[in-house]
Amino acid sequence: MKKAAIGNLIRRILVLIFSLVYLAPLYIAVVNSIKPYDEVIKAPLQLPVRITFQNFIDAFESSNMLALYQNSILITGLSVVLLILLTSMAAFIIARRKGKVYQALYIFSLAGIMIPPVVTLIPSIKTLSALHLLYTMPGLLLFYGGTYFSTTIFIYVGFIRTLPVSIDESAYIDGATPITTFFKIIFPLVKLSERFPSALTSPPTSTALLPSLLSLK
Amino acid sequence: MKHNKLYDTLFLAPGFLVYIVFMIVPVVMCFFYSLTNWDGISTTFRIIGIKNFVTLFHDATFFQVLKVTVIIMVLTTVIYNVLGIVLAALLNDKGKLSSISRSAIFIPTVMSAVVVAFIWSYMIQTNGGVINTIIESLGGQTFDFYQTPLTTIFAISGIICWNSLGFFVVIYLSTLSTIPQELYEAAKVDGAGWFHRFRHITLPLLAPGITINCILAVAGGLKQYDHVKVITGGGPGGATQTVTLFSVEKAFEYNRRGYSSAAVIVLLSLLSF
Repeated sequence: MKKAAIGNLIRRILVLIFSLVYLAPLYIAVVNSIKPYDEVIKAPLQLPVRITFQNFIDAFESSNMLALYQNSILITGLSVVLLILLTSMAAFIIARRKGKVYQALYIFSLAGIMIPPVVTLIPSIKTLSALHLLYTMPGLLLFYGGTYFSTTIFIYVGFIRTLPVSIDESAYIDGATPITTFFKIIFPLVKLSERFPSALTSPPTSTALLPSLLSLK
Repeated sequence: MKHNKLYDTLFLAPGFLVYIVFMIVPVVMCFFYSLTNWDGISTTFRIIGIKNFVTLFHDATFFQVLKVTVIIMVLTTVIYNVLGIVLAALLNDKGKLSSISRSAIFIPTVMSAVVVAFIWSYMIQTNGGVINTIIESLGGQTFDFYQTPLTTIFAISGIICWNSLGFFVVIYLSTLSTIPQELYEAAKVDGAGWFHRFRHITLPLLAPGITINCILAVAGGLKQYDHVKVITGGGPGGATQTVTLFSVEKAFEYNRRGYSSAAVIVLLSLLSF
């Protein structure tokens, strides 16, 4: 019994160390943002002696920060909504139907995981301008939709397969069409799943590619 | 249950339409461009066959960037999976501490790669960087992370891992939760220690999770762009450049779209193995 207690203690200490490694950079970023510059250089780890919001004021004055945030939030929000709607619908069918066709479709949709965004970046500009969508918000959203389709469908198919088929069957007996089954039963469950955040993370992570996509002729 | 083909099509069509137009069509176009001398601006270009690939394989820089990319890929894959399994095994209980540190580890995954790379590039600075301040206050020698290209690549790989380890831990945790507790109890009764329980029960039953994570880690490692772009920009002199950075630079700064397409096609064929 005593051995188990020591093991548990070691486990707790290890977990604590890892959490610190993860939280420290965030602490440093937050603390240093409200310190004057000389203090940041001298003692980056300490709690602020004098609290100042000058850094925030400078940042907002020197650049058009509000507009930048507005863009980021708008693009992320809309592309996530689009992505979730498109992929969860397709994932529902792929996860529920049996047969070679659906299996093939699943593998076809997963192929995109292997393709770096850089491959599609240059030709996408051609495609977008052919559709008259270059430099527009819908164009960007659709580009994100295509780019993250594979990763998201991978997550959703895995999740929907864990939901019991009997839910679908009882809905069918009660006379629900697939559309009602999806939007009233499957979609709320998908939305609440813990994998929802992982779908959320995808689009904003590659915003570094954004400038190259938008600054092109 | 009877399935209506019309509904199936209705559900599948929008997603796959977007996927085909913005993913599959561009990939096919990229294959085509890699066979041309298109510069990205002019409306006319010639098909020059495999000349781009011949130039590419005579380009010493390309082998350099390929080497960097493979090093980053191997390092991140190993770290993700080893640390991921260890952390998932440590965090697999319902205690308060575990749930707090689970969220702590997942926070960076939600953060933008650019923000993470910025924070860390300040932390690993030689003068006044947080890590070196800590080393100094403990009485150690300051360590220059930008000493050689290799140390920089190691630092970048570490930062990449810090950023998205949480995702891999979550996958391992969900795989761990499918392992029935009875197995552990039976092993305990038979007198197996924690290492034997880990080696003979946890690892074999984690296999599906390991497969998924290895595929995702290899694909992610070879596609690395954001962190390297922010931290070093590929410098000094292209010593830490990855294939994706190389291709974007060739396409937009040197206006050699055909050549750049050839580079990513090589990367793509590497990935499909």
